[in-house]
Amino acid sequence: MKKQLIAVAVSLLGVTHSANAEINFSGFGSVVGGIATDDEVTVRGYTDDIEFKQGSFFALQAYSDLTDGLTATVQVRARGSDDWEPEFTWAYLSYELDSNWRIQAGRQRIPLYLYSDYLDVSYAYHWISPPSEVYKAPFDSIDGIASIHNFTVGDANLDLRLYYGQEDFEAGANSYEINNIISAVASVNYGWWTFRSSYTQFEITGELGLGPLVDAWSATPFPQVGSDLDVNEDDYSGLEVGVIFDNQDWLFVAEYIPSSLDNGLIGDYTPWMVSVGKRFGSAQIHATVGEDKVEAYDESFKQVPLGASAELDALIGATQTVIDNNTYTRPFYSVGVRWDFHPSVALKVEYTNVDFEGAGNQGVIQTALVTVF
Amino acid sequence: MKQRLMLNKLTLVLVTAMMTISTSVVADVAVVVNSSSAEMPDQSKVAQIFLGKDKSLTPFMQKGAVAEEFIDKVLSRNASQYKAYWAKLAFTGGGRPPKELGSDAEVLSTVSGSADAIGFVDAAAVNDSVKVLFTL
Repeated sequence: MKKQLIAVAVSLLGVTHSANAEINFSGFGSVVGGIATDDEVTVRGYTDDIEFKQGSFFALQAYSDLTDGLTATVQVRARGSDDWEPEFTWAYLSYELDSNWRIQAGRQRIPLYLYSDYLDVSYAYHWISPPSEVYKAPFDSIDGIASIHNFTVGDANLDLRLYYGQEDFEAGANSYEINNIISAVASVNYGWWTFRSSYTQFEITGELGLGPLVDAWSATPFPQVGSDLDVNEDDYSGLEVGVIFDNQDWLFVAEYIPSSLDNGLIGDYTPWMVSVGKRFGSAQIHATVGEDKVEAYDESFKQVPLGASAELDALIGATQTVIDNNTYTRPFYSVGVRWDFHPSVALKVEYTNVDFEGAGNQGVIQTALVTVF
Repeated sequence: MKQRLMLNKLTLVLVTAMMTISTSVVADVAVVVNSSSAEMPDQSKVAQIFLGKDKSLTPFMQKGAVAEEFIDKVLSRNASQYKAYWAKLAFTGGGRPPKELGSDAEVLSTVSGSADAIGFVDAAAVNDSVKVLFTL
């Protein structure tokens, strides 16, 4: 799929070139350094050794107006965490049916969150990146089609979007396949206010590395427990509501994302955050609080009687550990500053503290140079 | 003592007045459209046009002090905030920022040569090849 996409993208670029259409290049990037305050606990992927690779990335975008309402956009992003191997995050053709309605076909961003569309464009917001405690989806682009409708009602700008697509991706050692992604987004922009709500559903199949446990359960009278641990064509559904007030002096952001993966280990998760910022000339200070909250689904597991056999008890023990590891509430807060010291570059410094229940409060200090060009 | 206070107040008023005068002297910005333009947007509509929310006219940006004043007064932003606004849209297919022209002369020739163009120049540079919507 990725290879096909590259072929399409390259041929698109070829077409525009031969048609002498102008190709506009632009880009953005973040160079991020981070260090955890404790030598035992990893926070946001950072340890107590200062590290500049994993949060850093650059992206290059090519855009061409093919005339007659058609445009082509290709965005390639290389992340330090992927050993700078470039990947296509966006590659789509857009067709303008009229000045208020366009269709986008190809690879594009899945609009799960308030900041999804410009997740990587750190220059466009106050944090170094939106809190990963809240924005937890391990993938951010899909292959599909979108209908985007914007219009004005009085002084309000409305934006209604509908997406359909699929995606496969790897996260850590696990690989996933997502199908029948349907997402609907409505946002309203009124003066300095933006209200947004989205609903997303899809089917997910993944290899979580729990095969032996699933197999062991299927040999017991309680195979349902195993299939609950497994992520096999499980249904995800998620709602998101968010608001941004930004009068270029004060900034207020709030977002709540109640979502669930039916009958699965990932279960229900209901992260939220509230962020406030204030600008002082070319500097902006900000503070954020929120909660990373996950509850593994354990309905059929709870039905299994203890003490039936030593073997079953051992299985219960192992499964309990997995469920416990996937059931937690982690409050976090962060404070940071953004300084626009240059017309195209901003310097950001941020301290984040996460309360890991058992492992206690743990901090991470991150600093970044973010740019658009 | 009372007199000193009075004097301080007077100085403050004077200084403030001088500052006000001096800023208004720096550069007046004239927002201009093609002389045949049927569209006569007011200031808030001009802001919508330069932020890509209203597509009735094609906006042209400029550089330097004139642009800073326009972005500040009409778009209620500073230069970085304007850039951040467009970065947000441009990298998500949400539109292209207004094309940036290099000088007042270039803006005047572009606007006078295109029926749906809108731009802004130093008020002192305005000539009768364009129509002035308003001056800041």
